[in-house]
Amino acid sequence: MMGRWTIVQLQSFSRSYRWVAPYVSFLAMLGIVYAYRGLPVLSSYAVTSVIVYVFAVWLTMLVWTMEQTSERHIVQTHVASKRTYWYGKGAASFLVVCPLIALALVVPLLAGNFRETGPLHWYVLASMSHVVLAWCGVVVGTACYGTGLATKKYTVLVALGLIVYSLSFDVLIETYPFVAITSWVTPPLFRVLRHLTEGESIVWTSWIVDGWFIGCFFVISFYMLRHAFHRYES
Amino acid sequence: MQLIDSDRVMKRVGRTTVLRDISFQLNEGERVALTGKNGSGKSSLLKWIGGLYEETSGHVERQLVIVGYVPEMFPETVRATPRQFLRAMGRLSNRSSRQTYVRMIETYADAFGLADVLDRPLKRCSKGTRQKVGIIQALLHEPDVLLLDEPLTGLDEEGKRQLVRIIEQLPKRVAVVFVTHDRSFIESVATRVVTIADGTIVKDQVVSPSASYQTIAVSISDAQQLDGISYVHGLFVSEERVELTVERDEVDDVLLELLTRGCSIHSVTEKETL
Repeated sequence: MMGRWTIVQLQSFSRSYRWVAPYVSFLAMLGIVYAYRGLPVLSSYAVTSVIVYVFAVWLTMLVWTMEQTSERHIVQTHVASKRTYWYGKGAASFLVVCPLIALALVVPLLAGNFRETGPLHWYVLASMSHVVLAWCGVVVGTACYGTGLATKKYTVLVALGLIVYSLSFDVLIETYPFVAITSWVTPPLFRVLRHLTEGESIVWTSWIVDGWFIGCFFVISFYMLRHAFHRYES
Repeated sequence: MQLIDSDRVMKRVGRTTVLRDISFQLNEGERVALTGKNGSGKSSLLKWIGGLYEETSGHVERQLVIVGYVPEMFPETVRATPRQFLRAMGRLSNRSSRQTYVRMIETYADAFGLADVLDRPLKRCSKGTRQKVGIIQALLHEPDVLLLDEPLTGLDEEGKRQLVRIIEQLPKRVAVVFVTHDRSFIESVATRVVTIADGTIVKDQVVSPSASYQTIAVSISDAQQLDGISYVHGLFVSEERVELTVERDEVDDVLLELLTRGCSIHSVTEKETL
C-alpha cells in the first residue's frame, strides 16, 4: 500500500511541475560550485551535500503541501491508515531528492572538475554524506510541514531558522555550550561533513561514534514527528 | 452487525469543542441523514464516524471497515484528469484488480454522464463534474461505510437521480451516512435522521423512505416509445407491458408524454420504496 501511495504521489508531483523551480535552481547552484576546474574532491562534495540538504527541505515542503485537506482525507480513506499516509510522504520526499543526489555526485565527474580522481572510498563517503544530509532535509521539512506547524503563517521562517541553526550548530556549541542539549534533535550535519574534510583515510572509530549519534537522531526524530503528525491529524 | 458504538464522545479542535456528548451507533445497512444548521457540527461528526477525526475523550468501539468519503468540495489542487485521478484512487484502494477498477470507472462515468470529460483536466471541469468524480472515487473503494458530505452540491437533477439510484443499488450491508439539507433526498434515501445542534445530537429517529415515487403500468408497442421518458426504474413485465417507477413530481408529465406517444396506461400506484 505504501509503495502504491508513493508512486501516486510521484506521478502527481511530476504532473504538478512543482519540481521545476527547485531542480533548475539546484542545477544553477551546481554550475556555480563547479564553475572552476581543479577542485578538491571531498570539500566540493561537502558543499554539494549542504546544498542537497537545503533543497531537500524545499522539496519536502512541496511534497507535503501537494494536497488540500479534503484530498488528504480522501487519500487517507483509500490507504486506510494515517500512518501509511505519513510513511508514504516520507518516502516520496526522499525519492524526489534522489535525482539531485545523483546530479551532485555525477556532474563533476563527467565534467572533469576535480583535480584528482581519488580512491573509491572518497566517493562512498560522498554518497553517504549526500544521502544522510538529504534525509536530514526531509526530517526538517517534515517537522515544518508534516505537523501542526504547517498551518502557521511563519512556517517558512521556522524552516529557514532550522536550516541556519543546523548549519551553524557546530559553531554555536562552542560559543554557547548550553545548546548541546538540542544535539539529539538537531540534524547532525557537522558529524557527517567533518569526515569529508579529514584527509585521505577513513577514521573508523570517529565514524562509528558519529554514526551512533546520526542513528539516534533519526530514531528520535522519527518517533517525535510521527507522534506530532498523528496529533495534528486527529 | 454494529459498526460503531460510542459513548459520550467529545472532540476538540484547538480550543473549540466541535462535538460533545456524542453517543452514536451505526449498524450495517443503515442510511443515516445528518441534518442541522450551518456550523452545528455535521461535517465534523461525519469525519469522526469515518475515523478521519479522532475523539478527544469518550469511549468508542469500531469495527475495522472500509470507508469511502466524499468531501463537500472536491479538492481544487488536483492536477489530473478525472480518469487519471480515479485510476490513482483505484490503485490505492487495493480492493480489486486493475481491470476491475478500470471497468468500474467506465461504468460509473457512464452512469453520471462523464464519459466525454474523463480526459479533460479537472481544473477545467465544472463544479458538478468534479463533485461526480468525488463520488465515484469513494464508490471505487467498494466501501462498507459510505460517507457523503453535501453530495448534491453542484449536481444537476439527473445527477441527483443517478446518485439516489446508485445508493439504492449498493449492497444492503453498506451503511451510508450523508450530510444534506435536501428534504427530498432525505425522504428518498434515509432510514434514520440524526439532527445535530451545537455539536451534540438533539434528535435521532428512525424513518422510512417516504412514498415519493409512483409506479405507472403501461402498455407499449415498441421499447423506443420510452426513449427520453424520465423514470427511475423500468421493469418489463412482458414484451408489451412495462412498469415505470417515476418520481412523484414528474408523474403528470410522464403520463402526458406516454399518452402522446400512443401508449396505454393501465394503472398508477404509490410505491413505498424503490
